[in-house]
Amino acid sequence: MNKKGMTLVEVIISVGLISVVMLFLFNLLLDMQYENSHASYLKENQVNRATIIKTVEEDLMNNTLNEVRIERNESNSIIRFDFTTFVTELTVMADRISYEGETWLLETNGNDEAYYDFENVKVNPEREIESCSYNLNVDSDGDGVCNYNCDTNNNGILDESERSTVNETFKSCSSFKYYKVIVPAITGSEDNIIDDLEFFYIGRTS
Amino acid sequence: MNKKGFIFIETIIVTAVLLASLMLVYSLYVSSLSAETIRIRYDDPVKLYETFYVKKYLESFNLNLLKERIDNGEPYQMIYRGQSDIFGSSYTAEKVFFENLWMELNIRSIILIPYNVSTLVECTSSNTAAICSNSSLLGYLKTLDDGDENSYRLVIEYAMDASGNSCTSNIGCFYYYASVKVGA
Repeated sequence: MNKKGMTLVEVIISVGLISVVMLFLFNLLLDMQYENSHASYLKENQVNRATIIKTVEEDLMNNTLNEVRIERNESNSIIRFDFTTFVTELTVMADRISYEGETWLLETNGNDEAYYDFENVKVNPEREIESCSYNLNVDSDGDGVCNYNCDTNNNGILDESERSTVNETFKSCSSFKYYKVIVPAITGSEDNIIDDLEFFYIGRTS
Repeated sequence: MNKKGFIFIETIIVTAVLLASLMLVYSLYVSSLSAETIRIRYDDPVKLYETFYVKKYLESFNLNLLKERIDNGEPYQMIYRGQSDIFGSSYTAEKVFFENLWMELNIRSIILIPYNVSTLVECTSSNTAAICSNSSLLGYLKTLDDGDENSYRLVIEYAMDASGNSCTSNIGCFYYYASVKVGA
């Protein structure tokens, strides 16, 4: 019998195996194509992000910040940095940010959703808070017996049962304050905050 | 000539070799991608400035105390949430602020280390356990170059979930690292 050639079953199995390999290759190619098409504008956004942060932080580092206020409008939010001798404004719109005459666009390839969530811009703390703690075991009359803020348990804090001795006059407050301004950027990445803009400041209280 | 089964076996062998090489390429690609997702959180601009401000704040107090301990042979100094020695008599006033700062920035740990980290990251000494047992922190420290031997680095480890809140567990937790130079 002439056995040249191959059986139908062999052909089908061979084609099946090659299809599996091709599917794998195709998936890899799609992944790499996706990365390539997004790399250029994602890189641009990262550079812009670093530039905006540097520009604003330069002002924060070199001046004394008194207050941060947010004005919310229909199409944008304006963050006002109140320094001792001047005021600067950071305007956040869905597709761009402006600060002191410069504007940076949020790049996208048209298919992916990317925008600054200007409606949810926030500053922490929302109002100036005192960072204070009670001076414990205050002996105001010098008789060796605690009069106010008596930590009878000796655990370093005033428990519920010790609250009756609290006197607000006897507390120490930090001479520092901080502000953290957050501009959320929605880019669809797994880590939602990696593209956010944040501006941080620690300074002395007035 | 008997050609029974010749094409089939050939295809099987070629497919197996191709699949093995593609699996290798794919695993290298995936591990390179996952290494990059870790590295992108090293020295992020936001975290660098936060670390700078924390350094400036701590330098207002007695950071020299920790520098002296390092000069006296300790490999590093951890700065804790309730740490009082660097604040001295200001501790009562500053402890709430420091606690607020710690929570606001989602700080996991703050360490002061010598500027040259090559000896520290070798992990040959038993008193480097706190650093060497933290593989992600160690991974960051290994990316730092040696330089000015007379100064120090303040390294801060930040930990937060995808929404920017503090992590309740290691699952879904992203770790950010940043360091700034602290002068002698």
